Amino acid sequence: MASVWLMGQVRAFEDQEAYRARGGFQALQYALSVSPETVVKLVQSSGLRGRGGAGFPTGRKWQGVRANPGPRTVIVNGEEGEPGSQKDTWLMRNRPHLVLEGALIAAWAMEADNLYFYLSVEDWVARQRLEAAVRTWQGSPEFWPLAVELVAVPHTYVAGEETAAVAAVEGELARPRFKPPRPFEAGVRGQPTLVQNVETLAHLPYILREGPEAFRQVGTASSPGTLLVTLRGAVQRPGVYEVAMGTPLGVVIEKAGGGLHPGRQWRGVLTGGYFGGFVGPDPDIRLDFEGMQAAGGSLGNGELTVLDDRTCPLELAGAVTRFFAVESCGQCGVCQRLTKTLAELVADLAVGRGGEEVVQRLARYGEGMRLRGACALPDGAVAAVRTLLKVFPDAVASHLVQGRCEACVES
Amino acid sequence: MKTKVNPQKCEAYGDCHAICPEVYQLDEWGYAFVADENAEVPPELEAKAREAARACPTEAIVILD
Repeated sequence: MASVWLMGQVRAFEDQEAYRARGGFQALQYALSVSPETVVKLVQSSGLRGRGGAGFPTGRKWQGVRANPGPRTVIVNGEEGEPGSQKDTWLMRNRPHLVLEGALIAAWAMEADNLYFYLSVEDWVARQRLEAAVRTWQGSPEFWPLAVELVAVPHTYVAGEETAAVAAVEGELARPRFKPPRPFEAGVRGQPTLVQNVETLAHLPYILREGPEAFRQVGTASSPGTLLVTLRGAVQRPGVYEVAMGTPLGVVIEKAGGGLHPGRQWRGVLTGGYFGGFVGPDPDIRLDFEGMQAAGGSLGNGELTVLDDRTCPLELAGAVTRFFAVESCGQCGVCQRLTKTLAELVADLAVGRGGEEVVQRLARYGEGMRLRGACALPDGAVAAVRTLLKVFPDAVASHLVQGRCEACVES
Repeated sequence: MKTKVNPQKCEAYGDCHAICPEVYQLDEWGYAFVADENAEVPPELEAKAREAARACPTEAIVILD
C-alpha cells in the first residue's frame, strides 16, 4: 500500500517533540512566509476534498469564504456525528499537534481572527490534548495573535452539521439552521466562517510541506490523497485505518480489516456511517467519492460496517432508521414524521407485519422523499430504506412472509 | 425568482398550496415543499408565489429574487 501520512508510524499519543522530529510545523512556517493567497492556491491544486462527508473541494470552499470581506472565523469540526466513527477523535487524541498545525494553516489562509475547536464534551481526552497543544503553540516561534477557543457540546447526530457548529459557537443549541445563508457567507456572528472537518485539516501540513504534486501521487485523479476508514461489523480487526483513496473495497476488508471470520460469507457493507446506505458484496468497488456513489452508496465519513451471512440486514436497517428517528432534532416537522414513519415501517417489515403494502410504502419513501429537512438527516434514513430493498431483496422477501431470514436463524 | 419552504418553520397550514398549488405541493402530512428549489419560478406564477409567501401564518416561505 502507498505511503501514508495521517497515521504513519504513530500508534499512540504523539507529543510536540515527536511531532517536530517528524517535520511538524515546517508547513506552518512555510505558510507564514508566503501570502494567504499562495496557500489557497496550493490547497486548490492539491485537489483535496473534505473528509467530513460531502467531499466538497477544499480549495473552492476556501475561495468562497475569502470572497466575503473579513473579519473571518475558522471552526475545526471534530464533532463526529456518525455512530461508531472514530477517525477524527483518533487524530485529535493521538496527533493533536498535526490537527493544530492544519487548523493554523487554514486560519492563516482565511486571514481569520478567531479559531474554534469544536468537539463533543464526552471527548475530554481530545479536548485536554488539544488545549495543551494550543498552549505549546502560543509559546512557540510560530505564534501570531489569533484568538483560539475550545467549544464542547453534548454529542448528538446533528451537532456536527456546519450550521449547528456555528450555532454552538454562538452559544446556542447545536442544531442546524435553515440555509441560506451558508457559513461561508455569514457564519459565526455574521462573519464569513470556514467550518472544516478535522481529518481534512490534518492533510494540510503534508500538502504544504511536500507539495500538491506529492499529495496527488496517492489516490485517484478526482479524489487524491489518503482517507481514514473506520471499519466495523463482521471483520476480524475493526478499527481506524489509513488507505489510499480508490483502494478496492475487498482489499480494505482483507488487508486492513483482516478479512471476515472463518467460514463466513460476505453479503454487503453499510456505507458512510449510518448515512450512506447499503452496497452489495462487490470487492472491486473503489473507495473514493465517485466509486462509492457509482455503487449506490456514499463514502461519507469513510466509515464502513461490514455485513456477513449472520448479519440480518433488516436488523441493521431497523437500528439505522430508529437511530435517525431518535436523533431527529425536532425542528422540522417533516423530518420528525418521516424518520418515525420509516422506523415503524422497517420494524413492521422485520416481523412480517403489514404485508406487501409496507414494502410498497418503503419503496415510495425511498425514491421520493429527499432533501426535505434543514439538514440532511432524513436523507440518511431514506438511503438506508432505498438500498435495503435494492441490495437485500431476498432478506426483505423472507421477512415479509416469515418475519425472519436465514441470518436470524443462524445467529 | 426562486422560492423554497423553510422546513423549520412550516407547520402544515397548507395556505400556500391553496393559493399557488403549481409551486407549493403538500406531502402526506401536509408539510409544504417546492419540487425543485433550484428551478426558476415561471414568470406568470411569480405574483401568486409572493401572495402565498405573504399568506403563510408561520412565514415559512422564502422568496429568493
